[in-house]
Amino acid sequence: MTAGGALLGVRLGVRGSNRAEWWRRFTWAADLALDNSPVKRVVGLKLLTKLAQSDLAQRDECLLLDVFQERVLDELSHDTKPPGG
Amino acid sequence: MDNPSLRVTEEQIAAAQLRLALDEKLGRPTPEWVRRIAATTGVESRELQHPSPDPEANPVAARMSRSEDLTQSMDEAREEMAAQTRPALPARPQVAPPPLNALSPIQNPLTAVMTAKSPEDYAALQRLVKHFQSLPPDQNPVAIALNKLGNMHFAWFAFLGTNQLGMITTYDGEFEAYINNFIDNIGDVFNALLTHIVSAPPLPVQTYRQEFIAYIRTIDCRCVGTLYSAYPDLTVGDIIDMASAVPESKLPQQNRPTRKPW
Repeated sequence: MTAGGALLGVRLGVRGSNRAEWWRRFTWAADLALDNSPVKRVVGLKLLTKLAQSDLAQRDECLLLDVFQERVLDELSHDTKPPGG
Repeated sequence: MDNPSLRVTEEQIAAAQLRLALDEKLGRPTPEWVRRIAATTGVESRELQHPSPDPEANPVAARMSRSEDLTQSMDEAREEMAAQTRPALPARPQVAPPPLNALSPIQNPLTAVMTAKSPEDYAALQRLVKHFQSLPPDQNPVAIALNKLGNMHFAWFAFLGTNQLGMITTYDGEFEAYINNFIDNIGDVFNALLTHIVSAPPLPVQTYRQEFIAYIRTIDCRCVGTLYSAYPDLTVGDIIDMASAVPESKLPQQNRPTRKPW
């Protein structure tokens, strides 16, 4: 029981550490995605896509990432979707 | 015109790919127009067929179809970054174009310009680089690693202006493989340098490889036009092999190789 609890603690610790890394990468990618330079914004969005594909990105994280694509695609959406689409 | 084209930028494509990844994760349907943008590939063609046939009835689409294409916008972005990071250089004399066989050489240039966080960080960078450079070649970790890599023609650091450090190299092969080799062999040198740099990627670089590769891409000022090379088809290995085939005593004094730390 004690060993099981310790193992669970280790696993939770590793997951917590991975989530902290995910968040660190997210903040760096988000800064790039909002930069004035178009080249940096592209790199930022690509990094955010990689982060979205990670197992660590749950629903809340995905909703957070959604803001970045909406910012770019919102303007296009009015123009490219077919009438009524 | 039945199918006026809509130009999309690299940023819009990347955003559509992000949307696609998120929709898969969240179980949402992805609109067809987003799929089409996300599937756009290739640097040369960035035009999508626009569903609305009348640009006048769709002013935003008309404005976008007049917008810069990807290549142009990327070039402008690079120029903008170069203007932010490069010191003013004196005008250079006009030179003749390179011979045909010097176009698209096997070698590639890297001109990575990093900006120090503060005057104190700039001083720390100078101390670090001078420390490495003052070591004898057999103790200099950078020289040892570069000799081991075997794909580096030239490499040097240069301090630019009052707050920038340039890392300038000429190497053989693909960019990503080259940077991965850097990470494997002198990752700790970059960890030490990047703590003093503005907008540095997360560290250590050995853990955050993709971020480091992306970072180096953003600070590379790129080569204007094509890299000139006097020997466009030769790799470092070819040159070392040829040099070792010629006895040193047969070489003119000024051409004898000397090993110095970079």
